[in-house]
Amino acid sequence: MIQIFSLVLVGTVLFFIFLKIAVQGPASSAPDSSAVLAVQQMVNLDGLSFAGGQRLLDATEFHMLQSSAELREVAAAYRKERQALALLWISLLLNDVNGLWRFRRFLVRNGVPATMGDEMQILTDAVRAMLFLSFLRIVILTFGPFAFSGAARNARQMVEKMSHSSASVLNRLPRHGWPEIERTWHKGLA
Amino acid sequence: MSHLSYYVFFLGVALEGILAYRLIKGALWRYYPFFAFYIAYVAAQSIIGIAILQSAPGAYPVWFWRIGVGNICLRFLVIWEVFRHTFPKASPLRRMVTRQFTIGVLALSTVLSGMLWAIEIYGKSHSVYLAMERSFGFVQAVLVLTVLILARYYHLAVGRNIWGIAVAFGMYSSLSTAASALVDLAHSSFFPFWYFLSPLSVVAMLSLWTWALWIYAPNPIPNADTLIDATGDFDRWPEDWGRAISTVRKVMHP
Repeated sequence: MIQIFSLVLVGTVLFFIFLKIAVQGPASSAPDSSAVLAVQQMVNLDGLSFAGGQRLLDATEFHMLQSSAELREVAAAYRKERQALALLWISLLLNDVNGLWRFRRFLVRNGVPATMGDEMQILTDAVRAMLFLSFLRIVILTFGPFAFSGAARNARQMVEKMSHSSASVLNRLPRHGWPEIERTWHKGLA
Repeated sequence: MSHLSYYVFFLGVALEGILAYRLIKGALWRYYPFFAFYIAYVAAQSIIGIAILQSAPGAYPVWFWRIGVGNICLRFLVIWEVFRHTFPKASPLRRMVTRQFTIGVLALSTVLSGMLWAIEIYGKSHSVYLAMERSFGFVQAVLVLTVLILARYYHLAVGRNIWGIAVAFGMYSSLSTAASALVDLAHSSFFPFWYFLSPLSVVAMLSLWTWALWIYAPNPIPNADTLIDATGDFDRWPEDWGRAISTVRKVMHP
């Protein structure tokens, strides 16, 4: 009886796991690495190209300094400096989000095929990234750079996701057309 | 059989026909032969079932339960199809994952044998077929989920065809596990629901399969540039080492 009852439970749990996978849909294939690189070059993703975001919000060194009474002042200065750097990085990431969003609209305006679903997806991603980064900025301003150290990874992933979706749109164009796209894009920026 | 049951039954048959048509038309059966074989079996089962319903309706239930056992066993072909496409022979992951997967299959087979042996001591069991359905369904759902989890773990992209086959099959197997176990737990109250739920879940699975196979969307082939070919390095290493030794000897004994 227990075995049958446990199978009812296990079967139900398995069903909901599969349902979750079904709702997520098939994973969209990752864009070509050359397209990702091309987007990074075209849009100048300064925030994303900075690899030390996670370390910037890491509190280990601060705690080490803080633990020693003589180094408390140094720790306070260190914290203030880190806060300024973290805020600068967040603003760079926000610039990246804006740039990617504009670049995406530019691609579609120039005739790159995209569905309404694609557009809704990028809009949702952009709004979500902006909200998250703005929230993170407020948190850093209010509670300091080390209050929300795990967020660095999420912030980076959000911008990375946007850059990948722009790369997959760029990938729909023949490769020999990319330099022309880059020229037109930079001309539009100037 | 009520009118509604007939509608569900014929909807299932129609979907099987569409699926068979897609497999033949796009020559998809060549890419997915094990899955195509299973669909052929299911379609044949339905056609013979209709013939029996027309000629000798009384014999249909007995025939259905008997032929159903074959159907349950053949579902392993669907799992194998999902596995071999997710980890193709050329993939360096194949050898490693095969070992893990084989261990998993052996462990689950042991569990399965235990479950089937336990039928003897149920006392209240209503059908051997239902016991098989829930035991095999559980094992099959776990196996398909394992393949999907491994694919996600190793960041392998799964195409629409295999994704649809795996997810629909997993949903059906897990639902059939829970439903056939519930029938034994609360036979009188749940049986009328199961009577509709079971064919409806088959129809849902067939619908998802039809959608998944409507176009040919195989698993993306990993970029050959990103694969590391260690065999070349292993061959080169003894050559380089031998050359280094002979150079040292020449320097020491000119």
